[in-house]
Parts: sequence; structure tokens; C-alpha cells
Amino acid sequence: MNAVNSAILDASTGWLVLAGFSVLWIFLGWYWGRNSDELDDYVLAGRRVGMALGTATAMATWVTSNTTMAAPQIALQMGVWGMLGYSLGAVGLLMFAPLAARIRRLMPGGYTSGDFVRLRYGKTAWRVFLLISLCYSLGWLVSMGMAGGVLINALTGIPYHYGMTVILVICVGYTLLGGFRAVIGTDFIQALLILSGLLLIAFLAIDKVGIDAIHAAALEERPELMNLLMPAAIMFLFNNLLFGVGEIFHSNVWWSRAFSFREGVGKKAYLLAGVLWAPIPIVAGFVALAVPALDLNVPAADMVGPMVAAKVLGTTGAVLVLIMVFSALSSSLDSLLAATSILVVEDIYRRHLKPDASSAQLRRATGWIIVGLGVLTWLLCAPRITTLAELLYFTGAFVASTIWPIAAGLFLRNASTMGAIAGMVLGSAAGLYSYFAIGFYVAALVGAAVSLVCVVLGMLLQPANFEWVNLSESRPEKEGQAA
Amino acid sequence: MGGLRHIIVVGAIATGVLAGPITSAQPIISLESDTPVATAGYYQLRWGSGEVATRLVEATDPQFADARVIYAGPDTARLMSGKPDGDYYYRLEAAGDVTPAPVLSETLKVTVEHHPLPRALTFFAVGAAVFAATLGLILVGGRNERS
Repeated sequence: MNAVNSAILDASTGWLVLAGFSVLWIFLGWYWGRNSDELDDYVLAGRRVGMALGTATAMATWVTSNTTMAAPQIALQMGVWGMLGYSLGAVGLLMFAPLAARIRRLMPGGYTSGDFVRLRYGKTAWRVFLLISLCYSLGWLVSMGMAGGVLINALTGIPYHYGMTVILVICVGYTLLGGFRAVIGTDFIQALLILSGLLLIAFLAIDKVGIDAIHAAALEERPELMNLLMPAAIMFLFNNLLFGVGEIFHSNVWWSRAFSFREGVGKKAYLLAGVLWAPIPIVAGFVALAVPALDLNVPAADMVGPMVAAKVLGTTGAVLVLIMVFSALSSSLDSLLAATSILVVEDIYRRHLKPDASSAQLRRATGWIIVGLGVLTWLLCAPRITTLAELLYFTGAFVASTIWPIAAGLFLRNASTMGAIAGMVLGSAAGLYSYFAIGFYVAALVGAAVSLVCVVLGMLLQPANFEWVNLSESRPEKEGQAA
Repeated sequence: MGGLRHIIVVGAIATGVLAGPITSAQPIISLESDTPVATAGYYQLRWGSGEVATRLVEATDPQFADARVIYAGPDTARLMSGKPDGDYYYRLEAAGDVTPAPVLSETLKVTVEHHPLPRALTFFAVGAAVFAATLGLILVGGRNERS
């Protein structure tokens, strides 16, 4: 059912903007990727990414449907704490900074986060981890495909399925053409578009409506949004923080960047990206609090960001929002497609199916997997079974259970395989239970807490004595020669 | 929070008059909520589109004595949030100047019942402890590595 019958742009304008940027991204993908014939060039940009591009890609990737659309959603649902709590997602980037440096040092030839888990904890833990990581990647991909459809529908009235299809086809197209170089290059441009757009919208919202009017109307119409003791929002605070930490600690999106950055870049790039990212959800979320003052009907929570912006800024502003959020979604979709494809190629295709695959075969397989992921995402986006935030936080139950297996595995020799497996399995199960029994706003928190207990118990009951040097042998000799 | 019961202020548009019973000649439009009890404080109302223009009316009184129009327009859904604890009643009416406005839907009741504050603070404390432990692990691990 299409609940929006009051889109501000007409469909032809929407199609024009989408066509223009689609051509631009595809061209840039082809241009930057035209010389990426080698596997390392295609999937890790030759492991030579510098500080500026490194910071931009980390920040732009983290500015996604999460920030541009789900942050306003959470602000509208949970108020001031929802808005501020969302910015705690920056903590994940900040905490990953020292991990990135250590990962680069311990695994100079590594490809994926799966490589680490396999070498650190063995094959059973690795397979559990792959299941979690692939479920999460798919959930994130689907949430962004949905965000594309919702956004375009809210702003232009173009049906959800058309918008969602355009976003997916374009991102698959330029990621396929350009690989990781195209991802990082477009991320840089997209980061500039996102930041300037958000700042302009927030400034105009305050200028046109006024903070006093926003506060007074919210207090009268939706008083609990201003309540600093709103129970669900209090529960959400650390849940969001731990969800962000779990996403970044385990996901190959962030590990592949750690592998691709030049020596010494990773730590600084992640710290700077975290600092730059933190205010973005506050700005994006703030606009949602203007809903009562604007007397705006929001049919679904995940539409609120673009709808407020379009209302405040009019037709020109709606075009700006369309460009900005299209950029945000693209910057994350391309990163996730690239990182998930190499995870599937390295950890499933190569390690499980074709151990003697040549570099050229792996390069071709990466392309096919990018296309396959795009098709699978489209199929899962089509029914639109839930809202963005709820889908996103469903995956929180899984990813937060990997925080302690990853962090302890990187820093503590005595972190054991038993503790890591129990942490991921029981943490995910407990998180899922709480998701359904209480709500999406506690799933990651419960998953992380149970996982922590399991990992600590594992160290006490069956301590390991891991040798760090074992992590540097990420590629068996035979495969190294083949590639 | 459980004892707080906020009364929705009667809006200027509220008719103050109960609409008459729905007759078989009047169209019935479905009106539903995604949850009957909103523990997180938000819920989504959705309704079908009819041939006549509609408006969504909210009240805290089951007889709609304090009814007020919260939306009139072409959309067919509305996200409700920021509500204090209490029972809220909704129905669709025909838009226009006719008084009393013809009622186009059944009455829908949604209860807002926020989680108890002690439960929320317990989750907050557990989250803070997990975060502190993780941060400590990374800081100590980094220091050991340097030394």
C-alpha cells in the first residue's frame, strides 16, 4: 500500500535527478576501475589508501541509511535521547581505531575479518562467525535498498519498487566496474555532498521554523519526546552504542579498509572519521523534532527525514535531499557490496569450494558475487516487511555478540575458542530473544552482555595461549603462488 | 510513569457531538494500529482509502467527548509518538462541514504503557558496564602492546 499521497516533487523531476547521478557514478566507477585487473587492486585498492581518502571513506560509509533516515526515525520515535543516542554510533569508529592499527600490523597480507577468526579461533568459530557476518551484511544491504525505495517514494511519489531497483542497479553497476577503487573514490565525493546537504538543511530548518517553536510544539503534541526519562529511549542509548561497535568490529566493510590503508593511516583515519561523524546524526535527527511545529503528517517513521527537509526547503530542497540521501545510500551500498563479495570469495568460494583458484578466477568470481548479492537484496527488499530501524536492529542481536570474541581475540592470548563460539551463539540467541520479548532497542545490548560473560568464562575455564605470529599466515603457500 | 494519565486537550476543531451510528449506506474504512499496546511509546495507524475525503480523529474518551482532528489529507497512515501513558481512541470521519461528521470507521483503541523506569535503568546500567569493560580491554591491550 502506498501511504504517501503528498510527495513534493513530481515523478519526472525525480527520474531526471536519478538518471543524472546514475550516469555520474557509473562513469566514475568505470574511470577509477579501468586499470584494476589484479585481485589486490580490485578488492583492496592496492593496499595504498592514504589519510584523506581513508577518512572520507570511513565517514561516508558510516553515514548511511542509518544516519540520514533511521536517525530522524529514532528521534521521532524516542525523542531527544534517541537523537543523541544515535550519535554514540561514532564510538564504534573511535574504538576501532586502535584495532585497525593492530590488524594491519598482525595481518599485513590479510583479506577479510573471516581470515582473522579462522586463524585465531579455528574453523568452527569461523563458520559461526561467517553465518553472523553474512546475515548482518544481507540485513544492512536490504535496509539500504529499502531506504532507497522509501526515500524516492516519499520525495517524488515514484513507487517504492522502482526507486529501490534503481538504487540497487546503479550501485551494483559501478561497484562491478570499478571495484574498491571506485568505492573509495565515489565515497569521497559522496561524503562532501552529504555533509554540505545536512548542514544546509539543519540551518534552514532552524532559520525557518525556529528552535523555540520546535520545542514548544513538540512539548504540546508529543511531550514524551522531550522527556529525558523516557524508558525506551534510556534502554536504547547503550544498545545503539554497542550495536555500532559490533557492526564495525566484526564487519568486513571495516576490516577491508584496515587492510587497504597504508601502514600508519588506519588509526588516525578511524579516529578522525569518528569525530567528524558524531554530530551528523544529531543534525539529521534534529529535523524530525520539527514535525509537530510543521504540522506534518508522517505516514511511516522511516520517511520523516526526507519529508521534513522537503517541507522546509520546498522543491529545490527536495531535489537537494534526493541527491544527498542518494549519495549516502550509494556510499554504503557500494562499500558493503565490495566488502561482502570479497568475504564470500575469500571465505566461502576459495576456502570451501576452490582452494586452488587463480587470481584471475577470484577476480571474476568477485564480479559474479557482486551481481548475485544485488539480485538477492532486491528479492528481499521487494516485500518491504518491516521498517528500516527495526530491520537494522534485528541484526544488532547478531553483531553485538561478536564484540568480545573479536576484541579479546586481538588483544588477549588467553581468549579461547570455546568462549568465542559460546559468546557468538548464546549472545545471538539471547539478543534475538530480547528483540522479540522486549523490543529492537535492547537486542544488541543483551547480545553483547551475554557474549562478554561467555568469553570471560572461556578464558577462566579453558584459557588458550595463542601465538600472534600465527595470524600473519593468512594465505597458505599454495594459494599465495596461485594468486 | 504508570500513574500518569495525561488528558488530551480538546482541540478547537473537535465537534463535541457524537456522530450518529454507522448506517449500511455509509462506507466503512478499515483503521488499524501496528500494535494494541505501545510499550515504546510509538505506533503506526493505517487506514484504507475511500471515495470520500477523510480525517483522523483522536480522543482519550471512548465516547469521543474530547475528540480532536489530528490529520486531514490524502495520506493513509500516521506515525504516533511521544504519547504519555494512557488509552487513546481513534476513528475516521468524513471531512467537510457537516455536523456531526459521518463516522467512516470502527473505533480503534491503542494503549500507551511505557516500560517501567527501573527496568529501563537496569538495561542502561548493563549497557554501561559492557561498554566500560570493552573500552578497558582495548586501552589495556593497546598499552601492553606498546610496552
